[in-house]
Amino acid sequence: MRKSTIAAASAVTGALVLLPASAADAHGTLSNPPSRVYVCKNEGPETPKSAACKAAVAASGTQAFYDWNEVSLLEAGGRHRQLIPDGKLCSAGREKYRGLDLPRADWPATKVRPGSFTVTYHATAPHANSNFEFSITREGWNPTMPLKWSDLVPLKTFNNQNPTTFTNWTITLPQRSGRHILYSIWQRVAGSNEAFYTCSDVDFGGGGPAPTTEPTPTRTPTSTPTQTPTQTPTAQPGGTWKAGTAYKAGDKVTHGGQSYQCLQGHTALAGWEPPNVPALWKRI
Amino acid sequence: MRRTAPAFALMAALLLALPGCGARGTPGPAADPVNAQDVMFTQMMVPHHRQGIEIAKLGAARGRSPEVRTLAAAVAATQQDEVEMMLRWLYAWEQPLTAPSGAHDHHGGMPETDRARIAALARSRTFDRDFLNLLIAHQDDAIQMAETEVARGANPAARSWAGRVRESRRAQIAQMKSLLGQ
Repeated sequence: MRKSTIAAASAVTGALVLLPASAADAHGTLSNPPSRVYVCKNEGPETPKSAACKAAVAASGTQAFYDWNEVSLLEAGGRHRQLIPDGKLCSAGREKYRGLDLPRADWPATKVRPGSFTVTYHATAPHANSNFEFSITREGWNPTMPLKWSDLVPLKTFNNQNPTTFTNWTITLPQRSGRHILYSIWQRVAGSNEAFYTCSDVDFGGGGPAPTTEPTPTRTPTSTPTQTPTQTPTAQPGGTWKAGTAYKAGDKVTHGGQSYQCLQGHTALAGWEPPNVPALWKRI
Repeated sequence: MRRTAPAFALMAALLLALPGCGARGTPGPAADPVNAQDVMFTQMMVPHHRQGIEIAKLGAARGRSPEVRTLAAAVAATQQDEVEMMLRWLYAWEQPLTAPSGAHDHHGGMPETDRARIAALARSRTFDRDFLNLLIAHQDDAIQMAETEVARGANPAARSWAGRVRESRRAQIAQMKSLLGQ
């Protein structure tokens, strides 16, 4: 851990020595059974072969698969269930990786059997002192439904591990039939709150009711109910500044008791309040 | 990207040339604390922003739909201001404008959008879709970097700006997803 030993804060005045900040430099994903991001990265971000990877690339673009070892939250600190909403477990709730959440029954799956199973984690930047937590979907879980936290049954956690580039652990897979997801969380313990999340599709065989005949509808991730509630394109320019309004150069608004004139056309959004974006608004 | 001593001279010249370093860019009261996280965040955010500007300028120039071009141009313009603000902070804190080279390879885990990806976007035949997806991914990384600053930074101006980065990038992503029909 190259955590900086510099005192937490120092004044700007006086000699501020160079602050050698630490870089939180862990990266990785599960390579056996391969996670969704690993499968699609290996198929090739530009040339996905499986229908599921094609759909994932179509849904979220190729960049996610170049950055396959970064399905992570920098400030997780163990708060996985608070930070990641149901239905978004495979993307860690990150829009960049939203293609991984597609609920489909045709993600390439690794054939497995109940009993002893060796998992392998591929860490391109392994970091000492990390916890690795494995869980699996409950019997009866439906792969065409969004994955929820309550679907997961804990299998085994390996605490205070010092991973290498490829680290193996042996876990025991329970009795299951058909398709399931092996879910893992790599939580760094010292020096960083970063955590990595993986969804690996596995198939126990002898599957569910109608295994192959289903055409597996390409359901997009529940059409994102989290759309900005402020998106009101019909709002009238002028008057009080309002997120969601399309402003054009020359429009005048008030915000916080001040008047502003729009310098450049844009649709207003939270965080782009006139006093905060001088490129877009001039005080008049 | 690897500039050290000359960067300070360049910076000084840049500062003199900047008009109206108004309230938004002022590093705040001289006694405001600064910690290693503030410095690392700012040093990392400058190149990340510059890549975002590059992507956004492509979108402003090449976007097919007017909504895409308008959003892209606004992102480019606002981020340019923010880069200048961050450089002023680093200068005021008497810190290098770039992170130590070791940290650059793995800065907080956030990969910078590869040059090859930006070049590929320029050649894309499904430009709007590819542009929106690339900028969503890029801004999603920015949100992660901002989260860390909000959690671990000490400088009030940098932290409150990081909070606005988080908020505005989320809103941008929501706009872009709706442009994608998602």
